[in-house]
Amino acid sequence: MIEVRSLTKRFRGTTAVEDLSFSVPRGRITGFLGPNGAGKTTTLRILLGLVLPTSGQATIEGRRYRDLESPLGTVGAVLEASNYHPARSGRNHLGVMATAAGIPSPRIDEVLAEVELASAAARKVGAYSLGMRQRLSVAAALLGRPTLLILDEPANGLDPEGIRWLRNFLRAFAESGGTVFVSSHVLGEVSQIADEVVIIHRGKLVAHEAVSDLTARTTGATRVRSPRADELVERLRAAGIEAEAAGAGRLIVQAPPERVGDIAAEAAVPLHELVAETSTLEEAFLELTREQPS
Amino acid sequence: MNLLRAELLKALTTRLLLWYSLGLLAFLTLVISTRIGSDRRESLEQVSTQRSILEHAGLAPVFTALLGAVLLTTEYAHGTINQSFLAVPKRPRLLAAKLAAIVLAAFAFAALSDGLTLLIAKLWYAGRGITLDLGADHVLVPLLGAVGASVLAAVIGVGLGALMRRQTATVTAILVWLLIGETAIGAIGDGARFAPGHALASVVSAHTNGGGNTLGIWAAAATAAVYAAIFVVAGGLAMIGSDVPSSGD
Repeated sequence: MIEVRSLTKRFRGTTAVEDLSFSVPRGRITGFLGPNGAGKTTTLRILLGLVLPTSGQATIEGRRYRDLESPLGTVGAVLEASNYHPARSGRNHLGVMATAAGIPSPRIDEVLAEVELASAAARKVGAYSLGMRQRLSVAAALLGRPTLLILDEPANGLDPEGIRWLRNFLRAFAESGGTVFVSSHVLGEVSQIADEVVIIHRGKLVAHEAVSDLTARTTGATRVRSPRADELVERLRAAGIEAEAAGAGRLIVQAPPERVGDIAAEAAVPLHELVAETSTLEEAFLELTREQPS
Repeated sequence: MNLLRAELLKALTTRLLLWYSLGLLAFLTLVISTRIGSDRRESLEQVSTQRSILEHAGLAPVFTALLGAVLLTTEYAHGTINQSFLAVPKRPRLLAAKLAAIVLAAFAFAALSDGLTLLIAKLWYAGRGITLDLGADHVLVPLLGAVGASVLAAVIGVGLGALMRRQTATVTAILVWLLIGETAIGAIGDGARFAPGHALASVVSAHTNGGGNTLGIWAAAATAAVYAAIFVVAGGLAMIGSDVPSSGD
């Protein structure tokens, strides 16, 4: 659904995005991760036609955003929550967008109800909380009944209730067949909702895979508890496996559980616990984006 | 048509037009009252004086130039240009809609200026017991000139706004040029009549033939139209070929 090919963007000598390529499949939630300054926002803004690429291309349904027949009917975008005129009401903001895109005005009330902002629709946006502005952004994104949502750090500044609302909303959108591409540095959020992640660092692709594959790939360790831990360590080291103590009778072994279990069985060492360590997305992210010593 | 309606909706859903209208009312009241209140009775009875008093409606182009610039740059100032480009990603179409909206707004604003000028002048003349002879030859022509100049000034404002994008800088540039630049360029002699402010003033005064620092109506209109075209083309190219700023990475 989204194709980014050899995308490069330079700002006055600074390279924000460099030869970036990835694709986002239809009907899934894809997280777009990277440290601050990694180039996430620049990539999304190129995708949405707001920033012009230096080279390469970013397309949606095979077309540049500006060439889409019905931009708001194809893509709903949630960008910065500050992009509002403070003197305009929430309803007026949506009214301007709907009018420009030829969307019937009853749709405005529908999306306001959908994001639970109907009661505040007549209030000026300047009086909205950050969470309310973020919901208004989501309402604007939904105006054209798009099949793809692109969100740039949507959880920024949201309180826990707002984050939960957003998570449930995105899940419901994806379950109804929609595609979601969401950038975030709130890794816990992405790991809870994303099917796969694209990770960039310094404008370059670092990883693009399923969340489960990524977290499994970046660990491989096994947590072991045994009353004869010292003996097991010797056996493991004899087999060329690294193991270190992690408290009384506990070990962290750099090998999969099957291998550890086999060695323990051969040595007749009893095990009270044998658990595969899975890293969190946060650990995987930090490992993949860790600065290499120069 | 949808785009034009959206642009008009943007203009009408803030208090910008209201504040500009109140500002125009205050300025017109001040300058016309000062003029009529301080002039001699014999002078005020002359048709040429009455015509020059109605030329005060020509304050409107100053306001519409600022209005055009502000309506464009406010989108960048508040970041709403992002939503505008998301809804209308073909940038020339959006600029065309903004121009159409500002032309309509400038017409309305100039009509308001004409009406206020007539009203204030009528009240002062009545107060001094003098007849304001609106049926006299060409007395009302400056009111038509104010409409034309207001539209051209508004288009120049939009073009400059699209070119500069920063609201404070754009408004400052317009005011500095009109208040200082046009005065300074007046020192160079007859060539100053081709400066944008002088040309717009000549459109308002709408004399058939020019002289000194004044152009004839058609030469003035053509000169101002050339400025408008240059600013719109330059602003349009800047708008099409530039990135929309963001605070993200």
